[in-house]
Amino acid sequence: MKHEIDIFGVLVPSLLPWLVVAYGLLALLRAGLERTGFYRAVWHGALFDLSVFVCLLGGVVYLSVEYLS
Amino acid sequence: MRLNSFLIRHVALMFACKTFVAAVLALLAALWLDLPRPYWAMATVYITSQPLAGATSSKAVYRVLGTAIGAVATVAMVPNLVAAPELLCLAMALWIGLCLYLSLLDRQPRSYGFMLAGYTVALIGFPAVSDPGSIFDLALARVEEITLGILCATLVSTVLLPRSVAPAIAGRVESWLKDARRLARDVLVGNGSEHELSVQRLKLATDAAEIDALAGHLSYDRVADANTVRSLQLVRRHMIVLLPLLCSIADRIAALSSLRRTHAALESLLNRIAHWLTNDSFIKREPTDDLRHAIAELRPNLDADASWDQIVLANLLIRLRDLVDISSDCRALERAVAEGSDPTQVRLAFEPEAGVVPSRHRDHALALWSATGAAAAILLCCALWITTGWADGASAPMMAAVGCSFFAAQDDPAKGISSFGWWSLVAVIVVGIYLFAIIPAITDIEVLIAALAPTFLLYGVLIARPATSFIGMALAANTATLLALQSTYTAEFQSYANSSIAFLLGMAMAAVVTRLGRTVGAEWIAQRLMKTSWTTLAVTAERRGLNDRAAFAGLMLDRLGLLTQRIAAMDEADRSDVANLSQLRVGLNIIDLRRARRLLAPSTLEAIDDMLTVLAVAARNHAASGAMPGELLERIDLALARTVEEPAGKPREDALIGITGIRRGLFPHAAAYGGGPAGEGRLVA
Repeated sequence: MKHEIDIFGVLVPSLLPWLVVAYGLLALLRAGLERTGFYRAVWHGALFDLSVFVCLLGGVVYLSVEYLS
Repeated sequence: MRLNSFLIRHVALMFACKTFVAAVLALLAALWLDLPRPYWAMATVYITSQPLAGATSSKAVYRVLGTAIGAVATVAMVPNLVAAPELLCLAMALWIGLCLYLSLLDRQPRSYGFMLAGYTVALIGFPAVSDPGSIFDLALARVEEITLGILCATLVSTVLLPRSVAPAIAGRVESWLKDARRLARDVLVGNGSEHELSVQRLKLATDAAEIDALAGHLSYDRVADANTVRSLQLVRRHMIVLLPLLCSIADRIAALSSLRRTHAALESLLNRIAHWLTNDSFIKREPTDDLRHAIAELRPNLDADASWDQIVLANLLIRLRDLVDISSDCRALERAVAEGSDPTQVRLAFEPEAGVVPSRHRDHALALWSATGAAAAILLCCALWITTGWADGASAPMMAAVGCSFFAAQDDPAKGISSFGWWSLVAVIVVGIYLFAIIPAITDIEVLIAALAPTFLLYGVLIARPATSFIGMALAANTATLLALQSTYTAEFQSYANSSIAFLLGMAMAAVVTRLGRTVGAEWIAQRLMKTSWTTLAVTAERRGLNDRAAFAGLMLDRLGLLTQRIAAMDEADRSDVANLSQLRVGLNIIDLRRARRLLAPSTLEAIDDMLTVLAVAARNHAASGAMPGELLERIDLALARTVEEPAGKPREDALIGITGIRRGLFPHAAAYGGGPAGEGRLVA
């Protein structure tokens, strides 16, 4: 896996696009969970979001290493 | 005349033009002086400019001071710690946290200086880490450019069609007093339901807090007339006492009418005062002395077997006299403001204690918590930046520092930070269009200014409108900073993309960390404020603490202002306590009582002290139990019985008034006091 990604000549850490992808997934997941009223059962909403985000990011990075490199 | 009305109708546009002129002036001067980052001067103009001149200069003074302190701190920290980046990040995060803590405690124009001393370190320090040798030049340039920007902003705002803060405050004060008079009339005549009255009271309390915040800028306003400033400060001192006074009067009238003891003479007096209050013409109004005389005539002679309704009536009449005094003073001071005459020549009937420093509510724990959150956000961004080895990532901790500092004072800072972040994204896009589509085609500075004008004029209009001022500020400051106008065109897509991404990432990080750390919202803060108020009351009753009546009133009113902003988040019982200002009134009565009690007989003194001790304990436990114990009511009645037996005189009267006020404030629904010592009370004694 490369450590930097080249976007139109700009070298950014490869983590950055994955952060964006994971954030997008999180936003989708959140919207779904909010509709089902899941957040009423969560003690600390923001902490829960962050944890889910880390899991998603881990998954995205793992998949990217598996299939893209 | 026509010009004047044009100016008033187009205040926002005028402000936008003035600010743009100042910004261009700052940019040109910075380019001419060959300063390394002229765009800082330009951004500063947009950050400090306020529609009112006094507000601009107060912000300006503290911005210069804060920047200078921050620059010195950076020069001290960076070269010494640059070999150990982790340590440097820690030191900077702690410094920013400390400054933020101090700034949150203060809540006055001065607090801006503390905040700036904090995040200036981030603004200068983080980008310079890769090149520590340049730190001194960079810090110096920042101070120079900020000062230049501020000079331009202040110059233009005070010279070019200045709008002083004083007339704005005078206008607000005038309409406030008008509202207060209307409330007073409704209270005296008995118009409106209890609910309507409490809505009116809360509005007055909120407005008073806003006027207070505006008035904080008064002493920095060089455009304003000195007499006006002094008159306004005097009026504000009267305003502080007016609101609790009106509540007390309403309460006593309610008490009397529930005892069915309102007689015709009292009602006609109330009507006369109500009429006098709302009559705006100076000539047709009844002379104040006639009213005072009428009040004195009605006053019952309180003797050893004075009944509860007589005590309440005496209490009411004293408050009415205060109301007449304060209201006539306010009229006189308002006239002094209108004529611009010297207020020290006005003879004031009501003298609040002189030499009072208005005290303010301070919440150390909350300030510390927010400061820790900011430091944590900065450290997280630093960790990301150092571990990924991302060269341009320095903007991330920088923006985290700015974001956390800016919004820390709000109840829900995360919301402010994320909306600031989204508007920054808009600014990033605007800057992209300028840098790669417009500026490459421009060769002259005149054309550049013309090209910038529409965008920045629009931002100025946004800033001038209160509803959009936050959006305008975010757009203007970020566009000016990211545009990075320099003497030569150096833009390349790579550095633009890098710095923009880091910039947005920093904001996102600040939002996430704040959301994690600050789970408490307005509700919790309101509860905390109520609890602190009860504790202050307990301290007052324990005979240590604040002895100064006006300082206590100032502190409680300051809290009241904070509470009314969060009234929607409070539960019903607290809300009615706030709306009735019960803590404030009880506290004032305790102070009065403590002053009077020294001249009473030892047995009475003991009864009163017992009562105050029980009251202190009850106030401390109020947060847990939520109600006042019945034992306290017995103690109050016992103290009342003892006081009634005292020989007639001023101390006895004052003590009676004080105890009555406490009883009505804490137990508004209790049955009337029996009159004479209760059987049980005598047995205990």
